Amino acid sequence: MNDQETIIQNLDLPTQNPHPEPQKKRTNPLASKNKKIFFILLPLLGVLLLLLVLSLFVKPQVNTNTQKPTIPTPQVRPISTPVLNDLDQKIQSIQNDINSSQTLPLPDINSDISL
Amino acid sequence: MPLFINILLLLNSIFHISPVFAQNTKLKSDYNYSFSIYQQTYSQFQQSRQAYLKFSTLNTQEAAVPDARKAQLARLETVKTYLYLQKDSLSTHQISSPTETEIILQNINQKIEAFDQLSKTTSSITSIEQINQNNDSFNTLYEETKELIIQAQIRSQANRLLETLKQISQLLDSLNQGPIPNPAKQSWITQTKKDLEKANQEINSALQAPLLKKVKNNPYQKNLKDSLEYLNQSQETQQKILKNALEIKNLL
Repeated sequence: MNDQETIIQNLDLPTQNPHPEPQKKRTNPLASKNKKIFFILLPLLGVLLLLLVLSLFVKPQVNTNTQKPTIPTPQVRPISTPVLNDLDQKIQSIQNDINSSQTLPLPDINSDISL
Repeated sequence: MPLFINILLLLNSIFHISPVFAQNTKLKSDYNYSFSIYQQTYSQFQQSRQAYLKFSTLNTQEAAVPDARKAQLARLETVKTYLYLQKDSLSTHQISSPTETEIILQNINQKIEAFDQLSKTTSSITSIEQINQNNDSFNTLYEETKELIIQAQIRSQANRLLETLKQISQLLDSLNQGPIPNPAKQSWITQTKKDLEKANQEINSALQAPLLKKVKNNPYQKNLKDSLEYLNQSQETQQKILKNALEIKNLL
């Protein structure tokens, strides 16, 4: 009977662990899921930001090209060196023409060839 | 591009004129040769005349008449070659006013013919009377010719300056074709237009004013002097334009 009782006691009474394991922290499954999405989206956002920044630099160049014919830009056309040299020669030629005075004095002849 | 075309045209005109320059050089050489012959014959004539006036012999007379004839012929040849030279100079710059220039050229041709005729008469003279008569004929003809020579010289110089004036106008046009003139360029263009007008007026004064008034004492010299003064003024005005063009061309 003692044996039976002991068995019964052993069955009924829960055995207590003298060194219970520390209770595990319970994690929220929903928060973990958001974290995963965040880590996936972060690089995508970075790429998008990079594209945005790049587009700021690239866009004006494209716009100037397309708007060039429509915007009247006052420009003074510089004269090239060969043209200036030709201009010099031309002016010099005219100056030579002006200076080449061809007024020949009357011949120094005697009016009296008589006897 | 228009400037480049203008320069090409200018170069073309320079090459086109070159045969004229060659002809002008030959005519100058002919004139100088004739004048040197005249100086030699006149020197010989002076010696013969002195001998004739001193001794009045038949021998000295026979020596003096041919020497006088030679000197008169050489004098006529000198005037003719001088007229050919004037004619050539006038023909070179006749684009500006063809009608007036053509009239002067015709008158020069007439004078050359008259001197030719006088040369024929002179070559056949044998007496002192003919020598003296011929001398008078020459002086009458030469006095008429002097006025014509001055007209030709003034017209030739005026035409030459009108040509350079035209070239400067073309230069101004070519420089005026830039897209938007800067203030310095615009100012130069405005001033140059005024100067061009002034230079043109000075040429007109040279052609008109002096020839209208007749100064009794030495009219040819006076007329020539007056006209040349106007022409010099025009020349100075044109040079001023070009000087400014050179100074301002870097700002264009």
